[in-house]
Amino acid sequence: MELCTIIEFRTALAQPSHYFRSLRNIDADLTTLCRSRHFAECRAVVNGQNAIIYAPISPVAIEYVSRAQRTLSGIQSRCVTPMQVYSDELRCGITCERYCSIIIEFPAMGTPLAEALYTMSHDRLVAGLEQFYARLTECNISHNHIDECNIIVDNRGEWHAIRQYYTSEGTLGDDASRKRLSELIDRYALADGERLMQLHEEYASYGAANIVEQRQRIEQCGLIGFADAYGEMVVECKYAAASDFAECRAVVTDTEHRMGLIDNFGVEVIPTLYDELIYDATSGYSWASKDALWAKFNYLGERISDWRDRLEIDIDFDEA
Amino acid sequence: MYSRPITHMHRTAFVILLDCSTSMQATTSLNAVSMSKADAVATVCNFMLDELLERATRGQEVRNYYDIAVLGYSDKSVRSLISDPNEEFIPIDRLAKIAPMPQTRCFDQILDDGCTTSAFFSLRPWIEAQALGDTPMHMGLAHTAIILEKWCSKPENQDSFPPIVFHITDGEATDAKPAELINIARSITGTQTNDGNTLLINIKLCTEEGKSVLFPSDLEKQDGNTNHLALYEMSSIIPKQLEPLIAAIANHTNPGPYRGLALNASPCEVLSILNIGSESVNII
Repeated sequence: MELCTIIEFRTALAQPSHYFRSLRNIDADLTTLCRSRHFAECRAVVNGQNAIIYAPISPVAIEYVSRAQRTLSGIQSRCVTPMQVYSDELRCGITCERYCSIIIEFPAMGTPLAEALYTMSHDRLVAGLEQFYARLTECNISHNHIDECNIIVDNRGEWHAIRQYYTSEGTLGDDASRKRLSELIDRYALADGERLMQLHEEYASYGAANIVEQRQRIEQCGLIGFADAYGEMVVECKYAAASDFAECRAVVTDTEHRMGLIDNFGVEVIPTLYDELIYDATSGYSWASKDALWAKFNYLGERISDWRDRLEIDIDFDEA
Repeated sequence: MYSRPITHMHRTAFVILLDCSTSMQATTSLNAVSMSKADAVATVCNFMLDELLERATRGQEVRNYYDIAVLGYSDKSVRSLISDPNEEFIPIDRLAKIAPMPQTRCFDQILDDGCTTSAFFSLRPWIEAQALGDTPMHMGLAHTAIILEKWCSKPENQDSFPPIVFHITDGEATDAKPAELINIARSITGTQTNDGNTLLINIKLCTEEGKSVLFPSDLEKQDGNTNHLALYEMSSIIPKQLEPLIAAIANHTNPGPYRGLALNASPCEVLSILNIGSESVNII
């Protein structure tokens, strides 16, 4: 198995028919391309199925994959996401003189645990956790990197591990993660699932077809909020208007006609204090105005310029 | 040694030192496209700089993991080829802020079934090809030694993964004899952090059709050329940790230690060698 560079991986995903040797029908979402310590990864639809494609970018990655392949061979369990290694699949190098192997996982439909922690009930998450760790023990394997980003929770509340290239034989590798996730659930999960379901029935959803970045706009008493993909409220219905989420940010207007920017859990990264607010998802910058003066904000909502006249601020209003 | 993970607290440095002399105007081919050696080298350097930028990017943030210097020598001078000519080392997060717009290049690609198709790749033109004047290699190496000495002596860099220098040339020095070049190379490889000495990898581009020698373990058995032997002596011994990478690139079956040297390397081989830089960085 050869290593791949991130540039080669990106180039291949942009033109899969040229760079993938056997796989066809790959539609990659290049905006999700990112790297972890040893792999580059990207979400894609492969032959009509949601998938995550991984390419090894460090020598250790290759060792991990070989170990995981040996360990997972023959194991069929709902805690394990199907992982396939395609040997010498990707053409690499400027002249495509090398071939790199890739790994594809087909994760269960669901929501990452990082999101479920804030949107699912405590009981449901605890049951999922218990069942998941029992299954790992049954299979005598350790994932070794279980955290809230490496678990998908499906609509039955069952947990499925992803990024399984870290997997090894034996059950000692996940003890610390179990304790940590238990604490996270206790700290963040919604205590009263029943109350939440009642609330869900009260508001008029805009419909599941409008889910953008795992969020759908919902309306209650004429005010707008957001629910997650399961219809569970994530952002309270308190805004007069709201844009769809883009890169985990949405522009909102409160009932006093003041504008701000929220993250996908409803935290106002730029509070609703401004007369006007323009957000550019590509750069992450926002421009807000108050009393006819404008300032630039970064993705974290920190003001990074002085307040200036509109003509003096570096924004292309037409493009934004 | 050579095991320190790279973080924003323990950064590392890369130097790409390019021969920009007139001989780099000679033609070579990159993916069956004829171009000057200077153009081919600029392309592969741009590829590496893009890759290093990608590797330092987490989410929307570029993390300050390393300093990069791209230096060119020719016509009795050494200069930075990126950004401010007076500032040699540029932190990657600052480089990201001055990133040029990517340019797309098309090329023909032969598929497994023998059919030819057009493919493209996008690269940022960080540096442009330069090829004019004589070959002050000694001056280039001496300048590199000075900036590395300065970099390694900073307290914040003393526990870092040591710098890696890629020196790409196609000819012979016009300002020094082989013994002098070996001496000045040793002042580069003599710079160090607590995690090891600076690695100097010398790459001599192909001047004619011929078999390349990549990361030899013993050059004397293969080549009697005095200048090649000098380059061999100038090059670092590859640390054990990087040997598997090197063996894969060079198709070695014989065991190390290998020298950080490539002779008669094609532009594609140069790219593979430069990728060692990015693939070896153990970024947290």
